[in-house]
Amino acid sequence: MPLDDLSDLDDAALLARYATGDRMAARALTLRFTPRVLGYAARLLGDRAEAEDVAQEAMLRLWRIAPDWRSGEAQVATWLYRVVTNLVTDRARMRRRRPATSLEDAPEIGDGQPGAEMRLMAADRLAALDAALACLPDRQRQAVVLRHIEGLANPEIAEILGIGVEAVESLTARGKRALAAALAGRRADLGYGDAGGAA
Amino acid sequence: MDDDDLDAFLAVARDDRREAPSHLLARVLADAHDLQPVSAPLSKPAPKRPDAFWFIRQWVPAGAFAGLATAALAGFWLGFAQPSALEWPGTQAPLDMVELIPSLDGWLTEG
Repeated sequence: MPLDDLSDLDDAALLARYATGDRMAARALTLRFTPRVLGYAARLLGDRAEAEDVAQEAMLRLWRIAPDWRSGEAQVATWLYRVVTNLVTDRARMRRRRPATSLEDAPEIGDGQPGAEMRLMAADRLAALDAALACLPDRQRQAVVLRHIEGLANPEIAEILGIGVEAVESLTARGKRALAAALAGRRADLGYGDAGGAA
Repeated sequence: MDDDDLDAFLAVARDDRREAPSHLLARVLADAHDLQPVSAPLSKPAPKRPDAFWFIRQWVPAGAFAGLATAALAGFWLGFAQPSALEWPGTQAPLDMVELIPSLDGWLTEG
């Protein structure tokens, strides 16, 4: 079956085809999930190279479990997010994670053309956000990233983190407050108007 | 920083869908192919269990079966066909009736 046709299949069906030896399904799953897994791991770790290792390991576990996958028991994406969360947690336990960057390390806005300035500003905001995320406790960071960046629903996050929905709401609320506090000092230089006018 | 500003921050991150580098995709795909179950090959038909005539077929040529079948048919025909009177050469003349014991009356009379 051509790759374009496989894009219409849901995750579980694609995984079932992979388990029967369909090599195009392997390619489709790789293209579908690797960027998401990598993005999530990178947000949690703050280290691109380490995030690539985690992404590869998570996908490796998906390939291993594919023949035994029971459709309907879990969403493939949810399962992958949980694997990444556990892998990152394990790495954090092995070596207490230090922020790869701090808020002060985030680049300053440079002068230039309007288009270039917008791109630089977006890059600055991302760098500042990553630095602020790195300051959060692990569980808050995971919850905030899953809810506000990966766009998952609270019940799904609860399943990934192995906690209740109310706990997820609490984690995301506290995480957002901590993020706001961490970014408050950079409001003006990140393009959000006059610092004096901040709430 | 208020919620709107923070949401704008997070929106930037949400829109920043980072592409996976090609070398990572290649590594992941190589793992996938290494661990992918192989399609079941077309299996050979299971050997038949030897039947009651297997030993005979091994040692008796097929021509012998043809002779055996012919003999069986011949025997079947001989069993059902009506027998006809045999006429031997030189026996066309009617046979004379000879009474070897003419009558038992004389022997049975009391006297």
